[in-house]
Amino acid sequence: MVENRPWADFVSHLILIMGVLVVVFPVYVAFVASTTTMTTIANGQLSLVPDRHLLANYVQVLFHGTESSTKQPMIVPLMNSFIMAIGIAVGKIFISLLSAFAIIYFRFPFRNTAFWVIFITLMLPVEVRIYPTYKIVSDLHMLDSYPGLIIPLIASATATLLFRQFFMTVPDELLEASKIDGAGPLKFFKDTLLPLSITPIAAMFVIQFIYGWNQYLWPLLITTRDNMQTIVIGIQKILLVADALTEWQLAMATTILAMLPPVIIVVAMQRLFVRGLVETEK
Amino acid sequence: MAEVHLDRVGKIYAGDVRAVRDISFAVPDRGFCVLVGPSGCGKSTLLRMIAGLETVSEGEIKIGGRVVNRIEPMDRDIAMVFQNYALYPHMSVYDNMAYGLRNRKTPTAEIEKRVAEAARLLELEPFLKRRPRQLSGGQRQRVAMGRAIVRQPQVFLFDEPLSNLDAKLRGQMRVEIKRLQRRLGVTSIYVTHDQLEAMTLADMLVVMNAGHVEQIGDPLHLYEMPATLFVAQFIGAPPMNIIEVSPGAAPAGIGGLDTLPIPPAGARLGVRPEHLMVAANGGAPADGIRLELAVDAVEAVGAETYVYGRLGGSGPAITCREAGKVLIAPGTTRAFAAARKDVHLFDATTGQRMAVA
Amino acid sequence: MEKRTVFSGKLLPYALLAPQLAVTLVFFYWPAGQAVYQSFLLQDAFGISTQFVWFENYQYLFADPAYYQAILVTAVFASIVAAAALALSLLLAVQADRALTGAGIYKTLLIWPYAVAPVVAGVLWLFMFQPSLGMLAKDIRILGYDWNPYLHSGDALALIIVSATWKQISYNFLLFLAGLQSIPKSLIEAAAIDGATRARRFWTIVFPLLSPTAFYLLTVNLVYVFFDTFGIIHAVTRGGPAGATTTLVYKVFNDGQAGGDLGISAAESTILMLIVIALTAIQFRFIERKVNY
Repeated sequence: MVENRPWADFVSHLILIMGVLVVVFPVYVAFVASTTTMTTIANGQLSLVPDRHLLANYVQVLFHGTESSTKQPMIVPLMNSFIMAIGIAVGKIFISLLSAFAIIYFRFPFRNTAFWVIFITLMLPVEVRIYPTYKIVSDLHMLDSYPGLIIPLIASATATLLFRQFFMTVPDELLEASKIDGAGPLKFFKDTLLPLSITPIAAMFVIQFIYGWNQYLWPLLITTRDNMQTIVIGIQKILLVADALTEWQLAMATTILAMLPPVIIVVAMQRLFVRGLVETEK
Repeated sequence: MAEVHLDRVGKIYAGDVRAVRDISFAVPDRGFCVLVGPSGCGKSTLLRMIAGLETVSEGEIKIGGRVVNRIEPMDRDIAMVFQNYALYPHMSVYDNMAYGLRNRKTPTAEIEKRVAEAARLLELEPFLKRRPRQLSGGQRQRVAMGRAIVRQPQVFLFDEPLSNLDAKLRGQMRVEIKRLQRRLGVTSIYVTHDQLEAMTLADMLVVMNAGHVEQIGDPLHLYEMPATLFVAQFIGAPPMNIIEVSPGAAPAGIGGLDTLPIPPAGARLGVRPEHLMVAANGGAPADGIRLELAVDAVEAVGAETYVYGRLGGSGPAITCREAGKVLIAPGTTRAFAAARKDVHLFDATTGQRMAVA
Repeated sequence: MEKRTVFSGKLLPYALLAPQLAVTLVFFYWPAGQAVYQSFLLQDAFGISTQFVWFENYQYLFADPAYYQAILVTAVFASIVAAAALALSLLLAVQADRALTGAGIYKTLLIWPYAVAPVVAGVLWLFMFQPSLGMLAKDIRILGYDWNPYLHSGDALALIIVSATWKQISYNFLLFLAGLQSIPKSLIEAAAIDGATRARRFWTIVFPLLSPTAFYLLTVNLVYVFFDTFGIIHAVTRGGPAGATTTLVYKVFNDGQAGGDLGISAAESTILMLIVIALTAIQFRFIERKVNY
């Protein structure tokens, strides 16, 4: 369009760059802090340029833990986070695919009820029912365990809704052709529907992985042993110590570690997961 | 005076992609100019440059004597009807039409008057309070036109407004648009890929191809005297028959070529289906050409009959259009003749029209 | 909602639904029901005797100044974060929509914080504003202000507000951008021809068409502030100083931790549940009405 505002583009770039700076700055500071020593930070001499202790700090935090506080080598919580995140992602996707398939492709009594029962869970995150859920998990002897971390969190409906929406866009003709070809429901699901659903499944995987990885309240409650904690809890434990003794450089190293896997996944699968997020809105 | 004047207008996109090249013509005041051509020929780009929705890379565009290259769309005093209507979905029909006037701080009384007038003209009165989604395609089309009319601009621009309508509605709306334009007397530029729309609507027809102008003129003139091979084949349905000919090496089944000034390099011979008459077997034509066709199919649609055949049994496909009923059986061989005045010759390389004097 | 052709299975659909329904029933409805039920009970510290006390727990809550403080904190926190996160992300999205060179890079750079956990966001900002050694804390001190989120409630609140807003901008940006890009270009062009200036085009055409997205984001942002920010508060301020950053959800956690009255905690949970349901219900109502182009 003919527009007589030559500086409009310049202003836009300016705003966007400022936005990026605000977004990136805290992380950059943390990264720089994770490459230096405690004394540098305590003396308020933290500069904007990375120092030389990157390897030393990360190795220490991963394999030896901090001096004060937990002394837990962070490699273990890192693993725990992975297991939890993948477990939640896979678990959710699996049960949601089945449910969405059942609801869309079958007619049976109480179908609508089942749908609403699942749908309502969308509204209430786990934080709202925290203590009773804790009690149940405790009664089932699942405290401090992977199933305990994972299973209660796959109860929400986001994935089911997304898959349902996606299945709605699959042409009826495919099902009809399948039926004519003599395929039963499970065969149709495995041979036709699943291959078509790779995109929403991948998008959901990213979203749920991040959701699982970033969980805080739930793991906080149900894990007590240091070696069952997740990495985000690990950060908090490092900070637990009285101010003066907090090893900030290690805390920051842990923070960077805690951020890395989800960020890498988001950036690598950006197009996919953006589409997934936008679809869930509808 | 709302004359639209294009002077050597061109458009180049980033990456040196050339969309439009060296276009010059003038649309007189109150004239209806149609830009027609196949997809990708640059007609929409040209229209959008006139509207100010695309910048002009080369040349000058003048509206009403004023150079508008650098002027923003809203200040060019134009109105545009889009292919997908572009109605504001969250506003009522009334508000859609009033929007432009409100932006220019037109007094409410004046707005009401103009909208009422346009609504009456376009039979939109019952719909003024409705939202676009509640209207049919044809009604939305009329609202889009209403929105343009109330602005009382110097120029109307139409970007394939009828493409999304079904055939019958298209026919009706075509007539309405022409009638409206005559009545309102506003200079109009109309883009379409449909040659029938082009022929029926235009006072002035501009045929475009691959970014440049092939021919400009009165529609019937373009029909009878196409300046290039492209125009000859684009205008007219069924399209003109084209046969490759060269002196001495005429394709089988064609007679009478020696009377035509065919250059040594060869040429393209063109003859419209309706100019091929069933000829008596045997006997050379008095003045013109004669084609022997192996008839493949015959379509009798009542008022006319279409005969499809191959020249000389295996040559190029030829279509003939005869008035009324003609009794020809597929599988036979028949002769068709065309008068010399109905034969066109085009240069084999440039496609330019050659004299058949 | 309906497919033209379906399978007719009698047992299979139930079998397919079973896993999700089972997990949902055991880990969602049962605990939610428990919470509501427990809110009507009075338990002693050892859980030995329980008494059905109707709405006594609720009455206690609504007479408790600490609860009102939590409501106030939550309300302030929620409104400021939602307003700031939405406004900033909309501004960025509008700029990114303008098809500038490098738009794709900006988009990637602005989206990745979605992957960051709220608690991590809190820790990052805490580090910068840590009273004794934070980089930016020093700058504030130089200006003469005695910055200390451990002592001053305003400072603490400000810190968590900034962290929470920072984290949420990406998601909002993403969805606003998608919303902007779904508006047909021809509408904007028509408005331009119709004499609307940039600003007018935005407010009369773009913004109304963006309102479904905006509403959706408002609800999501509010739910985010109500719940997901727990991590920020727990890691950064622990709800202090003196309850200045204790939101409703943090209070649920805290009150339950003290090992005390499960009934009160359950009542708090139930109230939270009702608030969220109300929010979502309002959102559906509104969306239903306004959207339908």
